[in-house]
Amino acid sequence: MDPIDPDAIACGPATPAVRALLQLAAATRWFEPSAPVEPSWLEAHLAAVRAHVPDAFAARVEVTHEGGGWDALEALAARVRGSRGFDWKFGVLKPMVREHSRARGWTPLAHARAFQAAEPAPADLFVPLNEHAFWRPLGPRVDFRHAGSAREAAGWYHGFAHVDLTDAIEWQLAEGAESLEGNPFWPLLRGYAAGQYPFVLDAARAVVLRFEPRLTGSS
Amino acid sequence: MLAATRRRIEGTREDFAEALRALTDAVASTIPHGRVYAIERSPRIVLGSLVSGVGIAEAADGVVVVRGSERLGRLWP
Repeated sequence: MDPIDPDAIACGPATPAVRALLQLAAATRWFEPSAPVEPSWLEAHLAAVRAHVPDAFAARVEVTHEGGGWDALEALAARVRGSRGFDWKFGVLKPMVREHSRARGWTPLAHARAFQAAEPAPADLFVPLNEHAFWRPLGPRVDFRHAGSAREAAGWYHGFAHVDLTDAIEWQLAEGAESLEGNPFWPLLRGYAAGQYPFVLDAARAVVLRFEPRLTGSS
Repeated sequence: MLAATRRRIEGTREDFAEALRALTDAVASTIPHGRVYAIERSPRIVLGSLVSGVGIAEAADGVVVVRGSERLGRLWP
């Protein structure tokens, strides 16, 4: 599918923020050596979530930072996917975004009717059809064949990060705000862009993987 | 998700709008704030999962399940 053109985005007051989100996503290189980023970016994300869902996490979340490559990614993915109970994405973030959009009366169809022309355009975020409007993919599919045995885990992680990008944009559109301040997904996307990958294990513990491919074992 | 969609179209006349309704309903009732993506919009619209790349599309012989350019079968049971 033709990519969404961030420069052509036009969605009212949120335009510069949505453009910045898409530009950051486009500049993000996945699973390359990590880069410096402000150290408390995950804490900023957790605090922004707490502002909307006060009991989402424990009063203090222990955040551990570790360096690692494909082996570490695979192991952390297996750990999160194998756990039952707390679910950061499905249990916290998605319900939070749903409630936020609902409270503001925002829907994809209303957005498409307000901001998109009848003819498809490169900057469209949605494809309207019947009484629905469907999100377009916000970035290209990435092939992680080079990840060896971690290919599936990498695709899984990247897929959920794409959901975070979608949630970030939906949040901003529903807010109708020019500034990204307070958008709970903005710090998260900045972490991804720096090659730092969070895994929230439960309500009180999180691990940030600083990606270092050279630390991979045999693969 | 395809199984849940198929359960919702059982006994109905094959129709893309019906498939669309069933798919969106299946996603909404299974995944919190789940989304159906327009994986492709040209030359034909493919609606489905971004993670798996599997979607449904309208074809000359009905509604089909596809992954990229590969046809995986018909949607109607």
